[in-house]
Amino acid sequence: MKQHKGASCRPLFKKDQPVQRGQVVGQSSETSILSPVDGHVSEVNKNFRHFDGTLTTGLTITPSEESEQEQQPAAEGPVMDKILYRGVLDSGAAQPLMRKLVKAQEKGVRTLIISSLDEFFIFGSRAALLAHHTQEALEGIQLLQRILRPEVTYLAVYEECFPLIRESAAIPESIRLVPLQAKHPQHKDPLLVSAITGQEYPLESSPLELGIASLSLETASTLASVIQNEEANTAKALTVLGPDPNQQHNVWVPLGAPIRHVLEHMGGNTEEVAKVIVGGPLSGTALSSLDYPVTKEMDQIHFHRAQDQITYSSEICVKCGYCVEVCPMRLMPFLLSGYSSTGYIDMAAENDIFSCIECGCCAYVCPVHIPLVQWIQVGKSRLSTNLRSEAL
Amino acid sequence: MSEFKLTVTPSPHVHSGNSLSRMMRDFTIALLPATIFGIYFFGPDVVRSVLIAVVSAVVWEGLSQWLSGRKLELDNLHAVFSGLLLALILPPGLPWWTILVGTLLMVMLGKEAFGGYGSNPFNSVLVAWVALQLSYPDYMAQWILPLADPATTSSPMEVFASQGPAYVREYFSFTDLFLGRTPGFTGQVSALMLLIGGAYLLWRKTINWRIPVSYLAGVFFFAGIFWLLGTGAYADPVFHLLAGGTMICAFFLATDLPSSPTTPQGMILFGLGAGILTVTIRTWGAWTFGAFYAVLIFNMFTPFLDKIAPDVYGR
Repeated sequence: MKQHKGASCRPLFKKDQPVQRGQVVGQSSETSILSPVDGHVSEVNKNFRHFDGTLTTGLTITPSEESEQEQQPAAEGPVMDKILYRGVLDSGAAQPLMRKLVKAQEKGVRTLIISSLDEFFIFGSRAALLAHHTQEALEGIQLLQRILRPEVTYLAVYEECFPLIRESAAIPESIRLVPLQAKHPQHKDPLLVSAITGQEYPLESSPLELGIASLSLETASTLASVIQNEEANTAKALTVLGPDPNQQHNVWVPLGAPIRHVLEHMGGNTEEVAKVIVGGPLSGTALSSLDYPVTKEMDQIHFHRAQDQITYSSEICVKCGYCVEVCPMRLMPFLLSGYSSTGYIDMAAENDIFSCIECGCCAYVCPVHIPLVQWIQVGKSRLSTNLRSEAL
Repeated sequence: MSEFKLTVTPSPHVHSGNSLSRMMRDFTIALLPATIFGIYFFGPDVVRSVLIAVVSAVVWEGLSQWLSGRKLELDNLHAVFSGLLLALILPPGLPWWTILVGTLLMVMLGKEAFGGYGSNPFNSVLVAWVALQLSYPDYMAQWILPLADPATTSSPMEVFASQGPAYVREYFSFTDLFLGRTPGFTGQVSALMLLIGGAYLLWRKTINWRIPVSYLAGVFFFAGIFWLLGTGAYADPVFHLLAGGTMICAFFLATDLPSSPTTPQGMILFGLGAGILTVTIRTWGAWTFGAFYAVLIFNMFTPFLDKIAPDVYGR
């Protein structure tokens, strides 16, 4: 019941009740979750562990043998209602799209950035959507243009994909195609915004303060399919890599399907898999079980074999400055990590620890393998706890 | 519970593969041209002093870490690199026990006393060098003269200090200085060999260009200003670049990781400052080898230079 950032959805079904594909099974004030299949609710687990560590409710839907006629989704009326009742998220940030659009309308949007960039993959699921479902993607962007009324719209693509997209699609005049260097973490909002508009914003605020809305291409694509083609939002475009590191697939996966099925469908051997990562290899989260369902938060899944694994062992920092050199937010990661690990979290706050986007570049280059991102996460969470207890 | 276990760790899940031992290996490889030149120029005796320095540095470090019950960190190869580097900035033919004292001070006083490599505020090699320079000034100025008919028995920097810049040009041509045909420290004499090593380090991205380039620029331009102002009274900036250990400081001593700044602006200021101080000490100071002292003194500024943090995104 939680496939996004924000409050969990309330389950609308009880055990053993039948559900139909496209029916809303979970509802919150900002988004919805739709059943991906016809079937019945076989289990309601109130203590389902979300991979971010929080607890939510999990519904297990067992699909029925005979597929019934698909019911027309209930939501009719204004576009915003459809966005709400079909649970459209902004796939980059996993934020309910409605929340984002309402805020954007309040602030007023001059610049709209649509990103087809994925972490790690040059031709990931978003680029694939743009290349193979071009019409839908462009319709979605035009829908967003009608909702937000921006002065300019940019479509960010990786340089490598740029010729392909430019030739394959008739991009309307109103959309400017921007080729960007494939350099991690270019796909993250702050860097997209600065690369395209040259503007920067403090991380605790948002690009909306500058009149910039940044949305993922997949969002546009989903929006078009939901609004114009009246389809239920029950599948997710994923890029899957591994266990063989040369095997990359861009696939559609029904939401709620266990990751095990994805792996088996790809022909991967479960025995080989030692680590499952949701999100990119530099900033993704490792899952504890292959039975975790595919959710709307996932853009990519990496299966690592035992021999692909690396360990981070904390040694003494040698002050080489590599982390400072690579930090896209121009922080001093070794200092933040040092303050956090020695308990000087106030100093970490002074040095803008909350501006860290946890892209993983610092730990990636560290010659003494310090788990910098982990220490920064520890520092952030300690600081947040302190702030909360002070507020009480 | 599934039948097999998955690993769960925080991100990132990949690593560049860089390691301290790789970097130290690069540093050591980069010193090889200068070492080989030293052996060729000063004779096979250099092999003996290099071996003594490297082996004793490794032994002292192992002993220290074993006695203090710490994890052995010899696999990071810093002992090997710093032993070799110290041997290269000592005069060829230094008595064996002096080298032992040097490496002992380097490991214990320069590094282990602060908690191992990474925590030392000063370049450990320079700490040892200065200690030897102050303790055994006579030994440290005894040069082996490999040339058949030497014009002088002093190193270029000593000639400069005692007799002035005019005499230097008489004894040593720029070609001599560039190739290393002068009396001096084992691995310091040949600017060419050190440039080759430095280029290798830059190519491997082991060191950042900022410190060497700004250091050399600091030396060149500061010396250049006075050279243009006072005709004959001050040495040619090219002399300052080629002689007296400028090159080994630029690529190997000033770039020591723990004792040099980490921020881009800090690195530039560190290099420029140390470069200017090098020329200052050489021209007006009492010490002959200003470059080494300048770098060591600027090590003290590193914590302050690190305060010049880059502007955080969006602020």
